[in-house]
Amino acid sequence: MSVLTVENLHFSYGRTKVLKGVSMEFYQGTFYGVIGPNGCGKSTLLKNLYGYLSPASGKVCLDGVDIRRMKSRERSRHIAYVPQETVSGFDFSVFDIIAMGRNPYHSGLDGLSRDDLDHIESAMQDTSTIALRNKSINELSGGEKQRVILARAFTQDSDIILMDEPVSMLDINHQVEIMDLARSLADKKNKTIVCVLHDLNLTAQYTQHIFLMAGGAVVRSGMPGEVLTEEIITGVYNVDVFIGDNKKTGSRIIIPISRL
Amino acid sequence: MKSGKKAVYPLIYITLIAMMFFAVVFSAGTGSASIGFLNSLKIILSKIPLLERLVSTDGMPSQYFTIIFSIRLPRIAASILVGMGLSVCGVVFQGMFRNPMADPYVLGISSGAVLGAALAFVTGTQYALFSLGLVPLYAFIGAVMATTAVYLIAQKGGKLVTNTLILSGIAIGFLCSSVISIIIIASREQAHRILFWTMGSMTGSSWDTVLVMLPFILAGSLVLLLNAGNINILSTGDESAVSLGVNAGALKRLLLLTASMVTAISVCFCGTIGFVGLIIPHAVRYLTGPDHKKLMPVSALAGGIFLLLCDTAARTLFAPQEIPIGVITSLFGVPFFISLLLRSKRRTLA
Repeated sequence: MSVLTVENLHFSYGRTKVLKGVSMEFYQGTFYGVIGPNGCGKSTLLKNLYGYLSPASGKVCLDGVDIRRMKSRERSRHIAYVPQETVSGFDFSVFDIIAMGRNPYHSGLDGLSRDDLDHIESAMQDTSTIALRNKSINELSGGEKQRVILARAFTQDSDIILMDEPVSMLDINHQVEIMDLARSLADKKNKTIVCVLHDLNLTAQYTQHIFLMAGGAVVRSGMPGEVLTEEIITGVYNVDVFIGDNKKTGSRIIIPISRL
Repeated sequence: MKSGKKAVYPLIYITLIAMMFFAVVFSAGTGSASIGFLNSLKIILSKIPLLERLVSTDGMPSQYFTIIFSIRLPRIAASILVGMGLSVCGVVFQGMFRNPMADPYVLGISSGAVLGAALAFVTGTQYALFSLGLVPLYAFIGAVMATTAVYLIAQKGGKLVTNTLILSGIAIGFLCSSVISIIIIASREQAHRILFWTMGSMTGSSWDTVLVMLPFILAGSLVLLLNAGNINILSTGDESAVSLGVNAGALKRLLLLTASMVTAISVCFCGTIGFVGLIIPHAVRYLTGPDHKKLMPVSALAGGIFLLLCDTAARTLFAPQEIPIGVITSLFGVPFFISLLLRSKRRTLA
């Protein structure tokens, strides 16, 4: 069990202040959505959560320990990250890429252990990437690639998985596939999922708790039903929306309204 | 395809080691005093414990031994070491910058090292261009200064931007080359020799230079090899690397410093030799795939063989006149490089 807490986080790119005092708490086994207009600091926040970026002030703590004080190897055993897009300059096979998820448990030149192979195998099973194992990562479609990177994150065996718009490049079939997978991880494997999303309808359907950000701060935090209201969304995104109910799922439907 | 690659992997090593041995014997037997392959083989085997009983060197002129052991073998060893060092550095730079154009020369590091060595030569009291003394130290300082300058231009908040890095490397390389040109013009009598040397030459190799190079190149390569797995991960991007427990910033600094040292020691005795660090990793990647744990050691072997053959050609093709080895590597290298480019273009189009 681990709790990830963000305490009064400030971050700037040069002189541009991106995060202005963000505080959040993430508990085990919950699917969190982070939403907000472009440039509100969602992705920057995520990069602070796994230590890629260092905050100007404030801190990110894992069970009370500042993640900046942890060794990167140690940190990566607890927090995995799925970037929006993965590029590789070289033709690594899918298996090679997924096996990289075991790096936090290795040093130097030692090979993969039985235990590593078990983790890799089950991650490939969960993400249906077994058939792709010998293909080059650069031959894959966007959806396949995203599944492979998810498999790599699973292989990392961390309690917390951060995802930066994992489905924004995918068609609706693959969107549902990836989001189902992420949600089932939270439900069945008790993982904490922190997912930056643009699609408010996916957010409504999948997340259990939403942080709505604007201008580098969290302006609302709560269950989807509390955050995804006409008043709040119109106020933050500056666009008129229709909000209804999805009769199949019971979740909200958000449709932006043209200004014409 | 991939499993097939795995199966042939030990075979690649055996083949390359055998090729290297034959290249050594061939090179030792070739030159202005033509000793021949068989005699060369016998002479070399006669110094190897256990195997010495198998061969007889009776009736061979004693100067053959002197030529092989005092003149040709040190030069052969130096060529192999330099080829290894430059290839390993090429692998590392290409991997860490995810850029196939990266190599010690493109990043300005070779030029920095040569500038340092040239300064040591013109300011030093010693006459001999290729003698030891301060040359390796100055070369290392030159390489580290060039690397630091390139790094400082390209970094932002401790992070390196790849494209900026390549461009600043080219800029610093030009700057160093300009200063080298001024040195060449200023040092009238020795201008020809420095010029020759900046185009690359193994002429000054001796067992002394080999002994200076050996520990640095081996230790440096070992440090780089131990980080091969980390370079694999780094090659998928800084963000991924950090999330997988690789401290990308610290790793890049370590790689940059180590590779600068290996480059400096490789070029300080023999000048800039282009294309080795660029071609060899490319060619070897077709054999081994992208895994740096395989790519690095195989590139080291292949680079050693390649440079040895180039040097043999450099000293024999127009004997007694020597061609700068940099000219040979470019002559072999450019068409090869273009064919690789065409093949990869076809691949991405298909």
